[in-house]
Amino acid sequence: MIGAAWRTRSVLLPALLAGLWLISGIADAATPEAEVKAAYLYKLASFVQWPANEGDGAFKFCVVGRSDVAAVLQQLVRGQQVDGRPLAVEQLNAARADAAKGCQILFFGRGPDTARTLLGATRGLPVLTVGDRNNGTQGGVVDFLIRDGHVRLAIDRGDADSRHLGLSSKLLSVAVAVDQ
Amino acid sequence: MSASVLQRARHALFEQRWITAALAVLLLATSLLLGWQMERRESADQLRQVNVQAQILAGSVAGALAFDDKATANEYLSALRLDESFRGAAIYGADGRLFAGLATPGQALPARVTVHPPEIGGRKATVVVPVIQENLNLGTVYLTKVVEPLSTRISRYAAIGFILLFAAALIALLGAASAAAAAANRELQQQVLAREKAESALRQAQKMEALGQLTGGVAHDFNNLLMAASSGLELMQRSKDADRRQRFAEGIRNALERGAQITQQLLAFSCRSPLQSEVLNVDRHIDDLANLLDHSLRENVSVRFSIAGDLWPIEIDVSQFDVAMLNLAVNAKDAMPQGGQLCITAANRPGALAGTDAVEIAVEDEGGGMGADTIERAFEPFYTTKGPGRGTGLGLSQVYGFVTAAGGTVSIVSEPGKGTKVILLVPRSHEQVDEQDQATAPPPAEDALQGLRILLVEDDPNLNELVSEMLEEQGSQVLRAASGAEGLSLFDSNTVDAVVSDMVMPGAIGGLDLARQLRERREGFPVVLMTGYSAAAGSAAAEGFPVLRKPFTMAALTAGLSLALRRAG
Repeated sequence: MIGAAWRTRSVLLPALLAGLWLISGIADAATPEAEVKAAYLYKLASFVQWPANEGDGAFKFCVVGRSDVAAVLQQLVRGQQVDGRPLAVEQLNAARADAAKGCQILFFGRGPDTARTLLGATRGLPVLTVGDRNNGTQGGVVDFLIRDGHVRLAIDRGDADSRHLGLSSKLLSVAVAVDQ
Repeated sequence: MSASVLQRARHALFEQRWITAALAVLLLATSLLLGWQMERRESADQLRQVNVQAQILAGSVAGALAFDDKATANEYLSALRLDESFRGAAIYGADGRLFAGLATPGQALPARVTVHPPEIGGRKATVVVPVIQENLNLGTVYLTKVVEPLSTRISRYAAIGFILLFAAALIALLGAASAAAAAANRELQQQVLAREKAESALRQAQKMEALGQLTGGVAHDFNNLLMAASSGLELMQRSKDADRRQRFAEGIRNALERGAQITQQLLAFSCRSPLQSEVLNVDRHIDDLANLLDHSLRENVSVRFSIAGDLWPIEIDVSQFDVAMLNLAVNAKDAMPQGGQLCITAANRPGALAGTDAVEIAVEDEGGGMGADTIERAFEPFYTTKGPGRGTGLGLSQVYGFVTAAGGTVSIVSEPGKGTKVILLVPRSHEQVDEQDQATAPPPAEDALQGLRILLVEDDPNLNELVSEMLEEQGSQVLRAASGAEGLSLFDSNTVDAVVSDMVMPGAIGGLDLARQLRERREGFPVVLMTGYSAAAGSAAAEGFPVLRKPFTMAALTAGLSLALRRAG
């Protein structure tokens, strides 16, 4: 229902991005795409309210299948805090599904299957799941997608509600698609 | 009281130009101050507004800035354009680079900005606020607006400014007008004062002119009677015949009596006192007037009197009446250069003055008469038809003033070529004429003064001698003193039955003072005063002393003394 329109329009982009990722992977350097997504993930924390009684400890960003994004994010969060909590970046895979429950933000960079597993594992939990539709990992509370050459957000408010996450209206205002 | 104070204050307020000017300036200054204060509050408001707007913008664009949504950012920016004071707004990322911006034409957006509180510079209020989302600094927002378009401010202040200017101008105008009026008033008052001065001077001059005419005649008459007296005396000294001597002495006496009459008239005329009303019998007074007129008219002008019998008394200032009659007579004479008859009539006119009784006195001539225009202006001061140097133009105005003061009216009946008749209507007086004439007293007995001891006080040695002789002639013993002080000491050291004293004497004690002091010593003591000065005579008579007007006859002296002795009982 969100998908049909944009997917046909941006048919070339995934290929292009995949190419870029391959180059970056070889060069082991962050692509602009990875930097943007890492920055978005970082900024998302400011536009979302987690339930107040949600544990102490570090505020965890969990990244699945995108070590480059995780690396950029790692740099961004260094020395930063959210609500007085230190920030931490953790890379996950399907094998560590349980660990996903302790994440505040969970980004599925690649791997639709892993994404599905982790989504299922965190259902109803206050975890801001972030998918990446161009990489086939849609279904998060927030999904990245490419539109007009820019990374844009699609938001599932129903999912956010079920996870007791409060989304800022400012966030909603920049979403290209909002699901109730 | 308070009204007059207010009025004075108002006068003072508006007569002083500088006060008015200060008022106007104060009004303008106050309004300027108020305007400045308003302006200040206004700009503070503007600063607050621009700050609030920037804060709202910063909050609104946080999402767009965070997630690189220029389209949304631009939507927010273009919403600002609806504000007509908007000049420019820009959003900068956390790295300081311009993210999105919008400006009105001609307005440049800065490439980089740093956060600063709202400030006004060059008619624009500018502010840079940070965009912060949950402690996350996303960037900055820059907003600039004109404080308020000049046109708006001008239109706001124009109306009230116009009213203020108008009010200030009005005050200035009022002040100027009032000051001008006050100045004009002052000038007018000065003119009136100067005119009054000139009028009184001219009135005096006019009186002098009349007096000149009178004295000319008087001198002529005096020369005649002096001639009669001196030649009579010369002839008397040469004559041995007792009958002839008696006749000459009679002639000399007549001449002297006429001289006395003339000086009485002159004294009456010279009386300068302001209106002193007295009750007068016109018929009796006009007889006196006849002599006065005879001296001031030419020989080719004859005077005819037509006085009704039993005239009512009138209350007037006699000397003014005389001057008025003289003025009318002179006018009549001047109107008849070829000579003619002047007719003076007097008659009772019952109810002629608005229902009250009046006495009509009319002076009619056979002269050239005058037209309606001249009649209309005749009573105006200084209006004259006589040639330069011949008339003051005050004659008829004196007549008018005198009759009006007496409560009467004056009118002119005339036609060119048919003579002029001036009619005075003077209200009837119901007072009785004050008859203090010696004539009404019973004639004194031949030996009234026989054996009396009389103290005579007279500073003039000749008169002292003569009056003393007159008294001794009557069988009195006379004590003679040359001054009031001497008289008083003689009175104290001798037994005296009566005192005859001159009024005007050198020294501390005049005749009237002496008489008063004698009355203090002995109440009702008979004192007779002598004077040649009519004003002095009036004041003495007012205090109840019999007064002898110099020159007087022996009979008058006897009568005066008899009257005083009778009053003393």
